[in-house]
Amino acid sequence: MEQEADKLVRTYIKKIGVESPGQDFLQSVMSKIEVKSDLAPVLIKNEVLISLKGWFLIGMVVLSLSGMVFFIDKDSQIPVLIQFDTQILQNYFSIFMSRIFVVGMVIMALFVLLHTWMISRKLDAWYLRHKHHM
Amino acid sequence: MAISEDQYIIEQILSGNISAFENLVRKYQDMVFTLAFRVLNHHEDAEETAQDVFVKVYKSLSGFQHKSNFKTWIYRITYHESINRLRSKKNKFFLVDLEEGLTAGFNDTNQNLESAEEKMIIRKVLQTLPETERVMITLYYFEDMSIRDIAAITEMSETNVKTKLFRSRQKLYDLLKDQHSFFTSFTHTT
Repeated sequence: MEQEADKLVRTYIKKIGVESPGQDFLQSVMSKIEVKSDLAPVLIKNEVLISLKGWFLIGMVVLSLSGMVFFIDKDSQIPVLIQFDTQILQNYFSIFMSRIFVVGMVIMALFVLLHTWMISRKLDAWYLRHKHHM
Repeated sequence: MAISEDQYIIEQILSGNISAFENLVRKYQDMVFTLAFRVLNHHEDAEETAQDVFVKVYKSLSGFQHKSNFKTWIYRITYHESINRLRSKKNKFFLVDLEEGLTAGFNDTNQNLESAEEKMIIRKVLQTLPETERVMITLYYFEDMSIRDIAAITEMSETNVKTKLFRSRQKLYDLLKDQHSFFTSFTHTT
């Protein structure tokens, strides 16, 4: 009985088939989409937080900082002058950084770079996912 | 893993080929329109809803993550858009255009009269069901979709879908079996 009902209903539902929209349905949909060009779901491949130029600059800074480690003596100190141009302190203060300090700074810079890369990847992915809901 | 035709088209659209969207519209326009029409029973409303569905699909295409299949996704959007439109229309004292629902598809001059009459009777019988059940019956018997997919589309439990399908099938059967004997005798005599 149940199988008979199933068979009969299936036959008749298949028989009525699908309804069709008007002739100009496709054109209407496409024109709605083309008019609202801001709706485009296109993934903008080059729209990233840090451009190639930016990465090159960051790379150069890291390389030059790393290079400094090899060009200084083991026991030397790096003089850095900081000028305090105020009325109270009108002298030059010299700050000396030890080699180990410079190495530490370079390592920290590398960490910052790594984190920047990771964060930018996450933000890029989030942006592409939510672009059309913004 | 081989990518499906839908997935390939979606990738084309997302890489900037907007005209590839035409392929998706062509492929799904009849079924999207049919589902909207099953809910709304009104040609213009169903067509507007179907257009809104495609615009919505286009807008959210980049967010589609292939977790479900594209067909299930687009039918779910269609079902909810249609139900929402029906609710807003009901709030405005919308009267279902029953006659239009019954005569849809009749402008096909190649259809012979008996087939057209038969279709009209089946449509009339189908319209005795609530809108959600009309959609379920269409998806189950015409699209051969699984209970699981129908549950995903209508956002109901599988048990609920099974119950509704069983109930509506019984109702349709009771109404159609008399028509069936009429149709078969009509076919034999002609």
